[in-house]
Amino acid sequence: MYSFIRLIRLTAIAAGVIWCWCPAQTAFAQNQVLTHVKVIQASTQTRSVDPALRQIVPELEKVFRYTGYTLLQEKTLSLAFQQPGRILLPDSRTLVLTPTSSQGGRIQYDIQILNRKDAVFQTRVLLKNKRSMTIGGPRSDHGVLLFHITGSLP
Amino acid sequence: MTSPCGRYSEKQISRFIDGALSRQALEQIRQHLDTCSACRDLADQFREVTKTFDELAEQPGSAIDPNRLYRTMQETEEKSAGFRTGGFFSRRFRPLLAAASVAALVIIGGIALIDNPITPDSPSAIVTSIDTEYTAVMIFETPDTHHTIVWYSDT
Repeated sequence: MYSFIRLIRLTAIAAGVIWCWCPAQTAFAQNQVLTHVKVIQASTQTRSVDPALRQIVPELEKVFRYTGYTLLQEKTLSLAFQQPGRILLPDSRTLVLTPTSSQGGRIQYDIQILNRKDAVFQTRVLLKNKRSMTIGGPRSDHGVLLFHITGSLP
Repeated sequence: MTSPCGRYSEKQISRFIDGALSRQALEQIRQHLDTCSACRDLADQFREVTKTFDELAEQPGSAIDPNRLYRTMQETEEKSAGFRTGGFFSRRFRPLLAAASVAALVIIGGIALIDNPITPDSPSAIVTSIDTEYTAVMIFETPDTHHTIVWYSDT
């Protein structure tokens, strides 16, 4: 009986050590931020929705009046904090995303949209881990561009 | 308003502290601060304000301890009832007071959780700064998933 209690005690201590060690491993892994970007063209000229966007379009349709959504580009960036990631957009535009820190379950990003070399829009956001946000507005062809950004700490 | 030496605007110094300038502008102001003590003092003031704000912003919203609050309310109620021992109203309204206590806890708990990151209905992204040449910028969120959308006019 005594040895059984000792075994349970040892197991509890081992579990405690593993539990304490795991956050340290997680902190190490959190140096890299996975950032997934979908570049979407929304317009009222078409009525088709790209199959790759079927999961996110219903939510966008609640606030936008666009009838057609086309996925122009999709990219996943693995970035260290303070490391900018660039995505080339139509019409000589560039989207620059820089994860700068993480706090309270959110990732802080500095986001810039460049028109040629000029920053025409820049913002700083705190994006929930494993959640997404959308930046929209730049005109392109017969519609507008939407940037659907998802950030996650592995 | 311009900085004490007149070379940069206060807004530019403030943006420098926030890191919200181009890399080139950041470097120029950094070099300027090495030689200009007046601007350096101004930058220190902005840095202090930002630091204080960040510290306040990071204080958890759940700092209110509902259990402690409930205990305090119960003690208050008992003390109050003690003055009216055997009184008709204290017995009659006791269930109402209990219900009011619970309602107050629910309301206070709800308020305390507003800024808590684990709250499921907080916005997916919090926009802390925006800088654009365009005046029409909107921030909104979708009704169900609270997906944050930042919209700016490109015309």
